[in-house]
This record gives sequence, C-alpha cells and structure tokens, in this order.
Amino acid sequence: MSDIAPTKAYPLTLPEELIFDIFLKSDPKTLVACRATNHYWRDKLNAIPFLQETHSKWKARGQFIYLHFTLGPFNQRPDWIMKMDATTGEAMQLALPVTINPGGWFRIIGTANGNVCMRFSSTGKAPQILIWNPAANTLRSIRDPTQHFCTMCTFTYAFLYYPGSSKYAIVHIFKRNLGDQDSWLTMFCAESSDWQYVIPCPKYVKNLDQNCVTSDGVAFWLSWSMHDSTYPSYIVSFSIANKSFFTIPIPHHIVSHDHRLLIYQDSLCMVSNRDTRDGYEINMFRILKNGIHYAWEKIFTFTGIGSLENPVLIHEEELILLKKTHRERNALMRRPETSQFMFLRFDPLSQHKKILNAPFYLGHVQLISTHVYSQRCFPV
Amino acid sequence: MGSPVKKIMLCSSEKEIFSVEEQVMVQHSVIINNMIEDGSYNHEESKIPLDCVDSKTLKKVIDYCTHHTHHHNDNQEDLEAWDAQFLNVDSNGLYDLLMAANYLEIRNLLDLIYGTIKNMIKGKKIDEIRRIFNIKDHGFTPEEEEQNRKEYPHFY
Repeated sequence: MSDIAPTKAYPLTLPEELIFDIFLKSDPKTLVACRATNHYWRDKLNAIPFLQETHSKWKARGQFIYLHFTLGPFNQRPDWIMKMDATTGEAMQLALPVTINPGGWFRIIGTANGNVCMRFSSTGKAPQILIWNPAANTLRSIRDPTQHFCTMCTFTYAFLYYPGSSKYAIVHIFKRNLGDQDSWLTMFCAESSDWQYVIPCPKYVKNLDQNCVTSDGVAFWLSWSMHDSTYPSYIVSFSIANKSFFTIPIPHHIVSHDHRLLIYQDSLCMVSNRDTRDGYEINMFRILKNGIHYAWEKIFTFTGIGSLENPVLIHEEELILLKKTHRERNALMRRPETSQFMFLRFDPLSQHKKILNAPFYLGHVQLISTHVYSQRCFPV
Repeated sequence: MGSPVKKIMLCSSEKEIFSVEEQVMVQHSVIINNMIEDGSYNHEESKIPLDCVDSKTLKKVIDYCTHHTHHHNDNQEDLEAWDAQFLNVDSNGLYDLLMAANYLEIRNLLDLIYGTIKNMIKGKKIDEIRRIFNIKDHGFTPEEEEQNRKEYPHFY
C-alpha cells in the first residue's frame, strides 16, 4: 500500500460513503481527531451503525485479554496489567494512563466496547473513576461516589452499555453507614455529568461477589446468603434500562466448591468446579428463562488430573483456563518464593487445549481480575 | 497462431476512445465484468461510455489494470513500489482516480487509494484534516469547539 502522500495538497471533497470507508480503515486515534473536525462526522462516528461496523471489520486487529496482577498492598511494586493476545498468547505490560505510586492502587471495574472502566487512587489521594480507551488514547475522569458513602462497608461496581447503544452506565451498590442493613444503588450514565438515581435495593441485594458479568444491559453477581456462606444461593441481577433488580435462585444440586459466572454465546452461564480424588471436574450450565422460572442446562463437563485449570473467561466460545502454582520460600534450599501462572485456551466441544502463555514471577503474585479487550472507537 | 486478443472500447468524458484487452478490465472492474457477462456489450459496435471519467484518469486506470494483470506474479515489493509510483499524483489526480475506481468498482485500486488517504490523515491535527477534506463549516457552537479543545488538546 502506498505511503506516499500526493505531491500537491488540494482539498478532497469526497462522497460520504467513500469517506466512511476510509474511516473504517483508519486507526482509533485518527478517528478521534476526525470526530472533532465537524459536527456531522462527530454524530456519524459516534452512532451505533458505524461503531458496529468497526466491531466486525476490526476483528482482524486482534483480541486481547487483560490480566491484572498484584504483589499485594504492602509491596513497593505497584500492580500491573499484562495485555495478552487471545489467539497467540503473546503478552506485554500495558502502560496505564495514570501514574500509580507505591502505596497507590487500581481496580478494573470492567471492559466493554474497547473502553476500560477503572477505579484508582494515587498515594494519599481520594479514589477516582476513569473511562479509558487505550487504542484511541482518550480518557474521561469521573468522581468516585464512595467519597460520600461508607467506605468501610462492602460495595461493588459494574460497567455496562445500554442494549444497542453507544452509551454506558456505571452501577454502584453501597451502604450509607456501617449499621445500614440494606444496600443502595446509584448510577452514572455516559451523557450525564454526575451520579443519579440513588435508590434503595431490595433486601436480597447483599453479599455480592466482586466479580460481575454483564450482557445486554444487565449486570449479574453471585450472592451468598447470610445463613450459609459456603455456597452462593442466588444470582442478583440489575437491568440498567428498567432500573430494576431480579434474582435467579441457584438449585442445590448444582452448587459445588467454586463458582463463577460467565457469558457464553450471549447467555448467562455458571461454571462450578468440584474436587475429585485425582483432580477436578468442571461443569458449565446455561441459565435460560422459562416463563417465571429458570432452566439450568448443563452444556459441558470436563475433568482434569492434578491442580485445577480454572475457567476465568470466555473468548469467542472458547474457555480461558488458568492454572497457578505457588511455591513458598525455602531458606534451606535457598529457593525464593515464586508464582507460576499458565493460561490455556480450551475448546469445550473438541476438548482441545492450547497453552497461551505461562508468566513466572518472583514473590507471591496474585491475579486480581481478567477481562476481554478488543480495539473499538466508542466515545469515553 | 493463437486466437486474437479480445478488445473492448472505453470512451472517456472527452469522447476519446481507448481500446483495452477485455480480460484486463473484466478481471478488475466489477461493472465491466457484469456488462460482458450479461451480454449488454456488443464487441462489434459498442463502446462503453464513461462520461464521468476524463481521458487522463481513464488512461491511469487502464495502466493500473494492465500492470496488475500482466505482473500479478511479480514479487510483492516490486508491486508495492510500482503502486507507490503510480499514486504519486496531486490531490486532484487522486480524487479523480478515486471517483473512477469507485464508478468502475475496481476494488484493488479503491483499497490502494483508501490506504493513501488514510496515511494522509494519520496523526494529523484537526485543522490539517479539515483542510485535506475541505471542511469549511465545522458546525460546532463556540462552546462545543472549546470543549473539543479541552478534551483533545493534542489534536490542536
């Protein structure tokens, strides 16, 4: 392809369809600049038809998995994110848009449509929320609502888009004070400038898992009952379009040792891991609404020998499994403490497994969260 | 003796006639391929009128199609060097070529020109992109323009 610019620069007055074909081939940073050149292009480039077209045409630019690692809060090294190619496993450390000093921290609330929603605090500063598009290098800073609510109580966030829209919402579930029996919800919408709709949550909204999955404008959390904290007893969900909660009870015969919600083929699924004599067994269930009830359909089972290969994500209908080996320090043998991770792609239909990457670290490194990321140009 | 090479006649906006190997145009232009396939082109009498393509541009388009038909086995580097030289034209020439490639549906040539325009705007400031695309009225209110300057200071 020619890189040579024309010898003389006269303006190009091109038909719209040709201009938008060129935009589809451009990089996100250029698109952000084009957006700011005129009102008409801004509206068109921010509209769903164009954004959806980039969704299909930009797949070849790669799909990635963000892995958030930590050495713990008392370590000099701040947390870091590895950006791993979901197909080849090639990985590199992601440069964050803000400086996290030792003692500072960040958490990724979620990733969707090429935007990352993260909460962070530099040392000594109040937390902030950022919406960040790493490919376009655009940022939006949002006030963190916990400045006004009980920071000692448990709270959770979710980052999700309205169905068929380029507008996102951040959901925050919190308590107002330590003695508060009930939870409250507040929501930040992309087009507004502040948190809105402080509403009381139903009684069942408590003990929510920090891992949230989202699909079609609905956020889902596993929830543990107050009486039995061994197993999750139901799934709590919140629809940003209806601003309403609902629950999905988890049948007793499904619960196991470890559980995680995932979205598979646009459906809500739960994986449960069970230890066996030689290794483990993993079952994955699809949760389908059937009238006022829910049907739990087992879609596959797989077993393994040795330490658990834990499903942490789904990417293009394949599971991303994590196997972790931690070795304590051994002073006698002069062996330092180490953490070995192994990420694998697993096709549940063919049962084919492929090692993507196996990062190795000195010290007790933990994986905080995993997120699917692909390049998009959704506004922040 | 092999059979004679089939030719077709293309007529530019200045009514200049260009005789081209049929295979060259059929391979590259969706429109001409369709005309030949559905029988709407008569080799004895017809010439294809291209009223919106001037002679200079049509000659360039024919050069492109001919080269890529006869040199498609060349190594990629040589083809890219030839393409780069081929597109070493001013903006007006580029515009005319783009419109002709779009009209004749020559996908490879369109992609080549798209790539060049993409590189023209890559990493450019907002004012430069406005000048390249001849945007005189941006349609933003002063407040919106101010907001853009705050949001994207590096593009100004």
